[in-house]
Amino acid sequence: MSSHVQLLYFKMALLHITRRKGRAVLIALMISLALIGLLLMEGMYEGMMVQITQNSIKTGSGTISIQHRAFRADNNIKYNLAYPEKIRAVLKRQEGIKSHVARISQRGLIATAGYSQGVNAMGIDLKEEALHTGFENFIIKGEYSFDKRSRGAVIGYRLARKLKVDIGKKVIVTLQDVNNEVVSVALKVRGIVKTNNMLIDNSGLLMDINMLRSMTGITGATEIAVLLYDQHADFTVKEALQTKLKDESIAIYTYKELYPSLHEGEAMMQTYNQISSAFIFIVATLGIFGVVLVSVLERVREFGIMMAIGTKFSDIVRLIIYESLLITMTGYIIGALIGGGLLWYLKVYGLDLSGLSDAFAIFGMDSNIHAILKYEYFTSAFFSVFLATLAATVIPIRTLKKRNPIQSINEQAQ
Amino acid sequence: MRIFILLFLFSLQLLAITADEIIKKVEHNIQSDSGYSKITMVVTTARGERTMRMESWNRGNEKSFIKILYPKQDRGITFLKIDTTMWQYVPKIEKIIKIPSSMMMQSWMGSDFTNDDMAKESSIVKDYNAVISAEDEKHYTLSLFPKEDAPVVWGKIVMQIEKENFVPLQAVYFDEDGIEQRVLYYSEVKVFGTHHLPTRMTLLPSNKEKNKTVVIMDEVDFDIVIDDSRFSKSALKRYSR
Amino acid sequence: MILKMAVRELLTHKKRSFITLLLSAFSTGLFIFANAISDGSHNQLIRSSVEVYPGYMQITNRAFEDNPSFDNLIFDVAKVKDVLGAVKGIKSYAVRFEAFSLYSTEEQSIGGMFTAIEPENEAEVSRLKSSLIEGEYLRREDTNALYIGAELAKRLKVGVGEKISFISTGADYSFAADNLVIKGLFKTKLYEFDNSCAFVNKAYFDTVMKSENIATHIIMTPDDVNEIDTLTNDLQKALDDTLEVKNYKTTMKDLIMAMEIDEVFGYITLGIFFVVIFFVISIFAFLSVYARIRQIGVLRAIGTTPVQIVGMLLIEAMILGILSVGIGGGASAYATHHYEKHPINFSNWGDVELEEYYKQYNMVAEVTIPTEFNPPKILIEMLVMLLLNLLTVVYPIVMINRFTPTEAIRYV
Repeated sequence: MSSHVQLLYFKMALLHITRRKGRAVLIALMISLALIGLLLMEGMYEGMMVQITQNSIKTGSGTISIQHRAFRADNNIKYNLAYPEKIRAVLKRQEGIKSHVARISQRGLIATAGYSQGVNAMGIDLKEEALHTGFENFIIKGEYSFDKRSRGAVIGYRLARKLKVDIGKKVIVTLQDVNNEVVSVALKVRGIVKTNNMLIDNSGLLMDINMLRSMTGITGATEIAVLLYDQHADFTVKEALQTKLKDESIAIYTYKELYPSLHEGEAMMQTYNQISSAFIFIVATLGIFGVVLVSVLERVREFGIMMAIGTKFSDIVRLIIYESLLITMTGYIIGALIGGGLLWYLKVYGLDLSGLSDAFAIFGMDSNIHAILKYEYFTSAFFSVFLATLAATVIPIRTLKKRNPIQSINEQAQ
Repeated sequence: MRIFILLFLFSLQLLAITADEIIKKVEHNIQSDSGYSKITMVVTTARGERTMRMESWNRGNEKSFIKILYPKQDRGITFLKIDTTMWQYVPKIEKIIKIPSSMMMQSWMGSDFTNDDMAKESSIVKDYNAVISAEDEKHYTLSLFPKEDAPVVWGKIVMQIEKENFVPLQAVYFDEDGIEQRVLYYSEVKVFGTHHLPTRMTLLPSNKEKNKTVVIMDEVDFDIVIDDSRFSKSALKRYSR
Repeated sequence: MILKMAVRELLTHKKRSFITLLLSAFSTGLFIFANAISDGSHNQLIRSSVEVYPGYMQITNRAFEDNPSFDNLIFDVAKVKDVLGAVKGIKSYAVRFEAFSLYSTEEQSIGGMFTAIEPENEAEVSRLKSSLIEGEYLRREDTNALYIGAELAKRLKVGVGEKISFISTGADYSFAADNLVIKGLFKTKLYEFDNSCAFVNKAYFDTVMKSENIATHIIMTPDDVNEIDTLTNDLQKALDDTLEVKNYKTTMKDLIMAMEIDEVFGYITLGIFFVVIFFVISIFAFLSVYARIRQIGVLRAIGTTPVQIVGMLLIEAMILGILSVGIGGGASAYATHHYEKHPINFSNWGDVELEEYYKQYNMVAEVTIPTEFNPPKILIEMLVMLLLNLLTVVYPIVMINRFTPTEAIRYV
């Protein structure tokens, strides 16, 4: 068919639509609203899952965590990485690694004159963590500092609440060193954090890694937390590192191995989204089907006349499909623009639900959730709408064929 | 004229003494380099009174060995402290246990003293800076502030000391916010050679009105010879009987 | 007359009516069933979390929450038990004494909870007994038998039949210590709990910890969970002021709020779904009215008032609506009722490890989810769907009334 004729059919489709504006509007509206809803749902839910995962990964293990083989089962300080610098040199040359930090984690006791409880002491390097985790973004009071003499500490907000301490107050941290002797240090609270990582918020204390080293009597670290550019490259990088770091005493874990639940949560969310989307498109197809069927059947005589003057049946089919696609694709475009716009706004500014902050913290979420915007949302929606439209035309076209348009010229108008 | 000179000399004498020196003298009174004592401890709570009797050997501040004598069910329990590490032997379960960090703030034998208190019978000189905050005819009042890096929970300790013999009368412990947490009274001073020792100490926690721990030194020997082996882990079981 | 016309209209266009009916029935059913699953799973989660150990209701000394010391205990358990026996609505109760102790083996010492329970009563208020994975649960005659969390046992490197010692402070502040024998291991799947708790028979506990007639908590299960707030009030009035009664709505506030948030997310997803359904039904309604423009024009011409036209359209929608909502509602009500008794089993759905997922939030996972059969709620949901059905004819009605009869008759 020449382009001139194609354009003609296109115009015919358009004409028909303008004659039956009502139903076209209904369909386009349905598709655009459904698309907006789906886009927001997908973007927000994925945004939430990512946030939960990120919170655990960033302030916790990292995408990949390198530890002494025995440390995971028994957190004794004697199971430490004696030469973290050697490992980090290898990491520097490894592709895909965004940043890495060495830390010391130990469980101990934190006490003030009036209260004491267990604490997760984390020895970190302030400057490195700033680039890696961005702990300073989680500071809600005070500052991200350990003082010039490394006698400062940053503690989780719930821990601060229970201890009833504020900025400037002293806490005593008691641990066991590498010889199992009890050692204590006095630290001043310099900052209070809210990371939404329960381990830190409820019982975490950040202190200078070198201070913790001298306390515990080791020179190395208990873990090296690694962040990758691409979360999904975790296994590939892990394998690469395993070959490069041929060391029996070291274990390399991906965050999925350390927090299997996070990964499952993501998978569950995706399945949930997929099922919901499928349902919605099946039902939408029904709606499109209804309209196409009616608009086809009421023009049987029209089509009959066209065929009588030489139009092929396949061209009629083409016309019907053009009409349907024009309507649904308009709906798609409107929905994609509005939905995409909203999603973009939510991505940049986030949705603020600070009233529910404490409940969200249980899930490891911030009260300000940022949506995710992926071009895949739009491409998959495009194909879904396209396919749904085509699917919806199948039965009407078959019905039309059965009705034998040419013969129906003779029939009475309905 | 002579009175003025006397007064002047007298005041010079007074001015000459520093807070640290006062502390040192107090420590001399209550601490021995190699000593022994027999002690009764009475713990009073809202629910009644409990009495314990024990023996204690010490080498300065760093090493001490305690054996519980009474009540019968606790008889034979021994404690060893070397620097800040503490071990305990419990005959009933025949085990030597090293007190871990998680237990440091637990009460010692049910008293108002914690394991931490026992472990860190720290020399006040070592962990605190002292200033004379008040003074009258009979008493010095010293305010002690923890040194910058000292791992002690107190924000301030205020001690009242009798001038004449540098006998401590009371010590009030404050937390970081300046809230009173407990008061320790010293009384019944007895003289042992050059040591003026208050043989009765009463500890009153400020937030539990009905609680009180009283420590009475029944027998004291400031200078005895103690075998080094007493301050060892094997001694815990050996001397338990 | 209008009614007859409405019915005839519906019967004439069977296919269309059928599709609308099907859609509406399906969405009603889905709406009801989805909510039932959501409620069922949330309530189950709360139930599990409450029943595993915390309990539905608890009595403690009023000052205990702020200052959990041995000065603030329940000092006359017998008296409280008398009160509990007299108050109606309590199904079972059990006494506990929670203390902290140092557990030690040859190699190491670890601090943990050392709690006294009444074995038989405890089995009625919590899932401690059913969490047994190795060895045996406690009995009322047991002495120094320890029922210990699997993770704690792992850390201490002890197993069933092995010896372990504890050191603690008695209720009278005296020194308490003894040797224990591991009798059984439990796994509640709440990691923190399994990693730090161990239990002994209270009769034995009382002898070493000097806690006869004394407790830290008394846990109760009500006859009817829905009446728990009234029961809490009644009980509080019956006890003296030094004691405090709380139920799970206070003690597990965070969990309940989290469930409510999850519910909201569920509604949002359903909402999108219903937008689409609403449109589809509207489209069908629209199309059906559209096809009858001429017919309606003729009706108007012979004297039918607009009100009667609207009435006819509304009755059509009403009939379809009631039928579909009835069918959909009935079917899903039946399904909901069935799955309440026979919870849906998720263990075969892909490789989703529900257990691991919930472990990180310290919630207990179940592999089966019961739906919640709540007739009043179902009825309300059905009414909502009916309303939605009626709303779908609004636009067509508005549209049809724009035509004058003559325009309508001539409509092509």
